[in-house]
Amino acid sequence: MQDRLAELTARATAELATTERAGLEDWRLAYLGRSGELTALLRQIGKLPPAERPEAGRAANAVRDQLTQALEDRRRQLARSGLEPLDVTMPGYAARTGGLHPITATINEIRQVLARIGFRTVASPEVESDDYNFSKLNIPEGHPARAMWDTFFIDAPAYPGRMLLRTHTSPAQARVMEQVPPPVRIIVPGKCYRYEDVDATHEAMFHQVEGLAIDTGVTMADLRGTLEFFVRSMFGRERRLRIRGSYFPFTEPSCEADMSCPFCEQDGCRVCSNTGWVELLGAGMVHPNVLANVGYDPDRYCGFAFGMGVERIAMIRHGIDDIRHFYRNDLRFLRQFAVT
Amino acid sequence: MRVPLLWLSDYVDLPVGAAAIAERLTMAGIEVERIESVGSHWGSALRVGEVLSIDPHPNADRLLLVTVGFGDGRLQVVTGAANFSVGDRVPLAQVGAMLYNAYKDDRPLEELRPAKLRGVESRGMICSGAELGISDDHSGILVLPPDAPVGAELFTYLGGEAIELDLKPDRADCLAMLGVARYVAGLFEQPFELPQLGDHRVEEPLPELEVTIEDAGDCPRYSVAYLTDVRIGPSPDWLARRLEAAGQRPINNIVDITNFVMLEYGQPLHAFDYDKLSGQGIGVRRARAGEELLTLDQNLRQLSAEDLVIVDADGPVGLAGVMGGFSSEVTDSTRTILLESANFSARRIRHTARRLGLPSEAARRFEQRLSPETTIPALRRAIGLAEEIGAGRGQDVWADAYLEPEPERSIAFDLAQIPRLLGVDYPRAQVVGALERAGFEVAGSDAGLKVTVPHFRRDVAGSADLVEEVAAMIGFDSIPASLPDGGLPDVVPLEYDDRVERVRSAMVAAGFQEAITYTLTSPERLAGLYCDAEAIVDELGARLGDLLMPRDAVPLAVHNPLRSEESVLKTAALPHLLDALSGNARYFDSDIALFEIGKIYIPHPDRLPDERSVLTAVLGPVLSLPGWQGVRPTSFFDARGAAEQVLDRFNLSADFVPCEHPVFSPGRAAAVLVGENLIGAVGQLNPAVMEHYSIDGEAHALLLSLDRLLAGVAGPTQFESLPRYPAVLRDLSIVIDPVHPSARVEELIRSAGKPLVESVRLVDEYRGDQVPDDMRGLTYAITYRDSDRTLTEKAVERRHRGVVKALGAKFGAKLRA
Repeated sequence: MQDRLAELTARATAELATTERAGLEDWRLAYLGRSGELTALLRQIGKLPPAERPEAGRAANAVRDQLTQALEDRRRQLARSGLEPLDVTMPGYAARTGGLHPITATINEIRQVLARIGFRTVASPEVESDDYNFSKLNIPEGHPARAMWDTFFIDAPAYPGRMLLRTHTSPAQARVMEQVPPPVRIIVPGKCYRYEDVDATHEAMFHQVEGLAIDTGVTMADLRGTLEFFVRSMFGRERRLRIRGSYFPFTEPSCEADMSCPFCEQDGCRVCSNTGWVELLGAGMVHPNVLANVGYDPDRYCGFAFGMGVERIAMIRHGIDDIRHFYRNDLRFLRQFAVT
Repeated sequence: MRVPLLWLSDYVDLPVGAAAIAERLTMAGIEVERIESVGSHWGSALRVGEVLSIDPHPNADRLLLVTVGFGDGRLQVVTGAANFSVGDRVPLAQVGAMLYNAYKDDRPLEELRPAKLRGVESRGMICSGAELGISDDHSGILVLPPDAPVGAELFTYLGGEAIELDLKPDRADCLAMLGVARYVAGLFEQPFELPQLGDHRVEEPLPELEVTIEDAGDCPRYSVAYLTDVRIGPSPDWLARRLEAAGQRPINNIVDITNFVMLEYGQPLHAFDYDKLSGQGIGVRRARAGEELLTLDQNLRQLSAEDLVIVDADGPVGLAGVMGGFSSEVTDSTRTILLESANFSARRIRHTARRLGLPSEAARRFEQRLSPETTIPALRRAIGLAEEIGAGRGQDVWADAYLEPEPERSIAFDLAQIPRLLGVDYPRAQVVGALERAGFEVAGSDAGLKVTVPHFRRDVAGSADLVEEVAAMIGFDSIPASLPDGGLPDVVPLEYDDRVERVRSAMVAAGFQEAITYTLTSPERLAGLYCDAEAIVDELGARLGDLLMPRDAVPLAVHNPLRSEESVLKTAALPHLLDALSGNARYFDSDIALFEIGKIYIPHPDRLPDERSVLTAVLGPVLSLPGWQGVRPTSFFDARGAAEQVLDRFNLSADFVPCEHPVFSPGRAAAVLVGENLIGAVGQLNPAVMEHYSIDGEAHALLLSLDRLLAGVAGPTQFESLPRYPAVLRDLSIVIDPVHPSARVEELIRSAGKPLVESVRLVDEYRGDQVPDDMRGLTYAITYRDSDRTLTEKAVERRHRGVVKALGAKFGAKLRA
């Protein structure tokens, strides 16, 4: 019996190897079918001496499993063949897409974060008057603080007052407040300009995002909360924020906000000059004179403003070491940040 | 402002080290830029030495053998310097000392080793300021004052820590050691001590002196002292050390006193040689046109009516607050001094210091609006010092012109302002304490405080300023964090148009990388767009130019450009993007596709310029096929496709109408019109323009006015019912004369096929076999549908034949076999 089973297995397997898809059913009927050879052999087990029957039964069942599996394998093999195998390690046909400039991407992220707490985005002119860039912001002509902003002036003899390239996004504060009554809660992203020699950390053209929130009862605590929300959203929830005193003519009290250094986790490194803190932005409570200048009652309304450098934030986020990369438009740089 | 702790501790006990002081000051708003530690690496190998003998080197003319004693020992060293004599005190480095190598550019810190110089062994070195790391001076040995203690470790004598303040313009009071000390004392709740001012008089009668001030606005106060029996000489060690630690070089006792008092009180002083002045009066006035002054630096300065001068009977003897005159300079033979302590207008000083390029420590202080109350204490301090160090005898106030004395300023301070602005309340006693520690006098009832502002805090004017003082003194970290609540802000008029972001994402999806280019450019760069003088312009092209790159607009010029290449505001965005294209061509053979969404600045005669938002895109000559399939040349239709992708985002369809403009090649550009509205153009760039911007090969560009595009966008897309009956698709292949544009053919198919033609789509353009040479084959896929019933084959056939007939009649088109 064992020999006949072995012979059957060998013959059936050999035949299967050359059987094409169309012959598979015939092969199955010939060996495994109701009147197939294996079935016939199984029937003969009953004729064996009782002592040999269990052994023979097990062997015959094993052969049935083996042939069934072989048939399945052959079926699968045939299904696959007829197609050239592919080198699946070759690159795919990706559609050629571009990417956003890292400054745009950073501004978009800042906008998204602050939109969640109700800040609407506003656009404001880049070419400004002396009045909006300085005087309305409590920096009258001759004020020593004017030296804080090196300004590009524009030759425009017919223009009443002096024309200049805005040195910060703050003129938008006055432009918006003059047109709408409080409450106001806005951010203003955009280009700014400083008459400044260009080096690794200074560009004559750069981007800022201004923030302004005015209402009855907006406090410096609200400023702190807004900035903490912003910093954790942008840089991760483990970041800490500290605020310290500073001076800007259009805010009083004024402060600067620092973030715990994300590069060294406050162990001290070159980026944070071993202080554990990186400077992030300037802020403060809007000066009563600024409110009065736009026709808001400073005894009734108050609020905060902040201004952050977008390049600085992008440099911290992406570890960019030289601000001059941003506007050279070298694709080797830009494509590193090709996020949409 | 550099503040040595040594000097600070003259007025206040410092309970903590430099780092803790720096931290506290920074948190309060007086930013410490860095802490400078002088000589912390010197160690015991650097001592104060005394030159015992100087001998010639046996083998070298330029070298000297110097024997230096240092208390318990002596050492022979070789040196090339010769600016010292026997008996001088000098810094002596023994083997093992760490010194900066002044002969290397980066001045590395190196250990001193034994050396043989021209056959003579040297086991030490006498050092320059540069080698010690305390100055840049390597012109000679640093000769120490004669009372420097021989043998002492140099660190105990010359070393120490200083904090460098980065002062904001509000805190002029901290441009003085006393101001910093006062604030540090307040922050750390330590007592603060002002210098003792003596009562100085000279027995003999003073000469008569009349001070005249032309305009109190230019010079609120002019005070002078009289100093007689002047003996010019070196300053004592304690004074010289403080000046050096603050970054000032000691010169002679009189100059040092003026510098010392300026650093201490923040009040600049000027010493005139009284005997060289003429007349009995001194005046402060504007210079007259044509006047000149030979200043201390021996430059003849031309003066104008914007400059403020000090005059004697003969005319200008000094530029007020900026620089003294050469004729009245104090010299070694000076015996009598007129010492000026004045308060000048910040604006005048700023003007003259800028105009003449003469920034100085004195001018810097005047520019920050000093208090006129400081002139007298500073004068008295200077006279006291002169007597103390034997520089002269003096009368502390000789004359004092103070035309409009400043009234005392006080602020009615409502304590409710603190929680209103800060969002946190402090106990009244804590607030009062904080203000007093900051130098304010506080009085008042429960209702409110009357806070008197000290004269040196000219930045404090109202309640908000006092709130800041309180927060700084108590600490900004005591402010909690919350979010604004209250009213719902309305949509504002200048709201940013977020649809711009849809344009951006369309361009990114179309394969373009965003660029941001500079606003400033040069007229030549802009004119390059029109460099092809022979180029034709048609009516559409002219309108396009006016919209996106006006040829005749004179760009706004920057009054003070950094560079000539950045002298005007761009009136067209294309030039900078073309520069980016050519720059990237150095690194990339294909797929240079850049876009920018930015502004162009079109001047207006008497208003701020029109800032137009534009989309500009450029495409290099070669694009790669997907994956590894190689490359293909860029075509006009790539640029047009990008435009279509943008329009698709707004459900807009546009007509692309042939147009001629000098930036484009003839016959290779289309104006983009939405209805009648011109919004931009696409096209292949003119070879002359390409050459002007150094671009090889063909390039294409897309220019769109975002203002126009977005103005033409209707509201949200309106739903159309889904079709109820099936469509029938028919292809139509025709042979047609190429003078007839495809857009016209499509139009005719639509009109002739009305009302059953739902859509027409070009699927092939064919030239070659089966089509005559001067003709082209076009194949369209036409979708027919009847919105009211299922179309019959017969109805479609009739309409389709009508279309073919109309094409034949109008354009001579024939069906392709």
